[in-house]
Amino acid sequence: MNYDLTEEQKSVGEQMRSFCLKEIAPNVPAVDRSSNDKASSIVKDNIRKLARVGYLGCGHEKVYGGAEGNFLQWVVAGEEVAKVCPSTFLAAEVSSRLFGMILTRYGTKEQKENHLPALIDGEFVGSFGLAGLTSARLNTGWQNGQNGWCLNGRMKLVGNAPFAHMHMIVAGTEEQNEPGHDVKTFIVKKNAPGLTVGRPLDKIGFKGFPVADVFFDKCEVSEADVIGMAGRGNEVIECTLNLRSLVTAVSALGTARASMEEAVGYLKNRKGGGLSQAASFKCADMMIMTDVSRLLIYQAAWAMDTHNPEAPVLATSAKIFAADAANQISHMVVELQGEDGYTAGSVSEKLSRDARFYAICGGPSEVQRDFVGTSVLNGFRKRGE
Amino acid sequence: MMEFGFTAEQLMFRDTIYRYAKNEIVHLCEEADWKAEFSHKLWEKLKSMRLLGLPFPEEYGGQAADAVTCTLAGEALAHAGVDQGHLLAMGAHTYLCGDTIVRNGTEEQRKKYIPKIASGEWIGCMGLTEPSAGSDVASLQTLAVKKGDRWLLNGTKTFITNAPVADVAVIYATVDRVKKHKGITAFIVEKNFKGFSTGNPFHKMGVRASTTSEIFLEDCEVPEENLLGEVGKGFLMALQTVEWDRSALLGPYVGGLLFAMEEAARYANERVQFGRAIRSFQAIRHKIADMKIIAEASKLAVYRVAALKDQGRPLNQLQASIAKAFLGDWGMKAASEAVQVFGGYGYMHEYPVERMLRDQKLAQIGGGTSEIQRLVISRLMFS
Repeated sequence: MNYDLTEEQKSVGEQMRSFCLKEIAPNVPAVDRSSNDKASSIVKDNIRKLARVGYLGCGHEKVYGGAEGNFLQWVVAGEEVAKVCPSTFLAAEVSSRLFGMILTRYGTKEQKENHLPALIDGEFVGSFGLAGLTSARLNTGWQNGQNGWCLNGRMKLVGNAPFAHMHMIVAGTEEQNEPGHDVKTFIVKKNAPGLTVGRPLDKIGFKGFPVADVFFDKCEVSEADVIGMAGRGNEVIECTLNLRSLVTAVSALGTARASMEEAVGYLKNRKGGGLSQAASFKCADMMIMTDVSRLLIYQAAWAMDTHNPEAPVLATSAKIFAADAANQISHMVVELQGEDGYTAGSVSEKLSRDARFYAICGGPSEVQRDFVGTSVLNGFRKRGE
Repeated sequence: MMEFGFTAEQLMFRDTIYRYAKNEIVHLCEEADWKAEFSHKLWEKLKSMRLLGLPFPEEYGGQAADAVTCTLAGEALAHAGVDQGHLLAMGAHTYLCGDTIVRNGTEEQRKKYIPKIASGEWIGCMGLTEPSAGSDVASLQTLAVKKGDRWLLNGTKTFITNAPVADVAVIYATVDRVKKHKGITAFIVEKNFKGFSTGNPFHKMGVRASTTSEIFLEDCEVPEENLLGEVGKGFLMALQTVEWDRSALLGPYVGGLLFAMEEAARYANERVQFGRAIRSFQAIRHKIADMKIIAEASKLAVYRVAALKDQGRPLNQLQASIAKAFLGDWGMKAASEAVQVFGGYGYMHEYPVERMLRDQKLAQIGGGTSEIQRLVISRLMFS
């Protein structure tokens, strides 16, 4: 048992920290206060900057321009990005970790050659659509069309959709009678006939992370754009869900830490009066929750790296806890700052708006609690049940 | 490099203890808890498994186990369903008393006491807390005065785990109250020493099978050779035990959370209301999920302290306090939810989650309250 990061992991974290402070932090207020289009164009710019320092390549093979590295290493770097600009973080992750990692793990050689270099380069951005947690509830259906597959339906809340060059869409079958073939993952180019991206949603936080519904009307996708071997659709889904949980958890950790640091900085610089016990204990609670979130996240990343069968439960647990922690901590900092915190435009106001997303995105925490609870319950049935 | 798994050897050790506890120990716990009696029969079982001197060097009858393994032993016992009372007795005996002598004692002291403590033949306790000196250790009042070749100790210790059954105690006293923590000095005191007596066992809410009482020192005569370590170094020795307080002594509470979660899960699978198992109610599933998350997080926080100790690195105060506060406060929530899953039955003594909830409360109080942990954490944040 060992809780130490390697020297390399530590140094990656430190490099990302100073990079983000210098390159990303200055435009964060603009991301939060601009129109959807303007905000997401800044974020797109940020993604290119992250590409230049190799961040997007983490976990991807060298031949495609990747930097290799495991989830743990990425998590350490990711916390720094998420802390500074969660919009940039989520947009970059949807593209390089969800779209990209599914491609790296399950794509064909041809698919990887076609898409990965541009993705890791930051030149192209990928979206990811998966509405609903289980395959049975997917909204978009596929049919065995003449030239491959034909997509119909509506994918709700697709991250990155408004500015994506390519969409990765997980679709359930319209005919549920083919066991093992009921879920498939497709790559669809942005201009594909039959594909329409809806208006970007206005949100209370995450202003630079563009989200829209994607509509499919007889959108044809060739067999070459289907991800994953026949019958492994559910494996792709499991990997997707783990990644989604981990990404959201890391983002929440970033917000939790940013909120804690905002609180401590505010209290240290405040003029007059000592530190009340209530205030200092609140800060201690922030520290406890932030630290425990990070432990759960590290463990989840480790479990995913080592193909631990508990990885889905651990990644989901990390997300649930970190999401709650970010919510609570960001609320606490508003309260600690009193009217300064409640003033529109304050740092803590933005943090608490952003934090509201975590219990919702990456799978609603309620659905995820169901999954964790059910997994535990299934382990303690009476024999023979 | 980060590695959250146990070694194959540690896992085997855990499984052996877990199985043994299920088969041989657990059935003794309910009655002991109900009667608030320390079970010597149960102690014999721990003796036979050689669990009472785990961390001591082999030459003194120990097993030279690392801190992770020590923590795991407590976890496995509680996970199997052993009550926290006996596990606290074991913790106070091994870590607070025995290990303090191992670390600070002379060769003679070690030879004289450790084999007896390691085998469990003698039961050990540690006397630090006083009626007016709890978390504020430096203000302790028990006075030690040198008289010829012996020390005379005068004062009262309270809330001393194992005191009523102990054969030997590590007692902290001050040689000069004005010197505060710099005056604190430790002694090895045997129960037969003149002037040593214990009060009636306290009636406690939880951890009832561990006996707790006052220790009265009335001109208690302690020979010079029973001075433990140097004069004035007692405070540091007491601080050293914090490493164990935040690892091996918390292991049983991690196990307790796993035990409660599993009991609740089994019950939720079987209990039928409105024609269906209560697991089919989302609110029940969510409680089980929260117990799982809290158990995982507690495990991570506690074993981090143990792993650091095994690397020979100094205690990280922040991490230690986080482990204690999290396990105390969040563990209390999980324990309460376990009882809630059982509904009316959970409130009944016959169901072990009832005991578990009472036991769990101590994790917020003993060895430094949750509030003291927050004090430590916030001081570190603002220093």
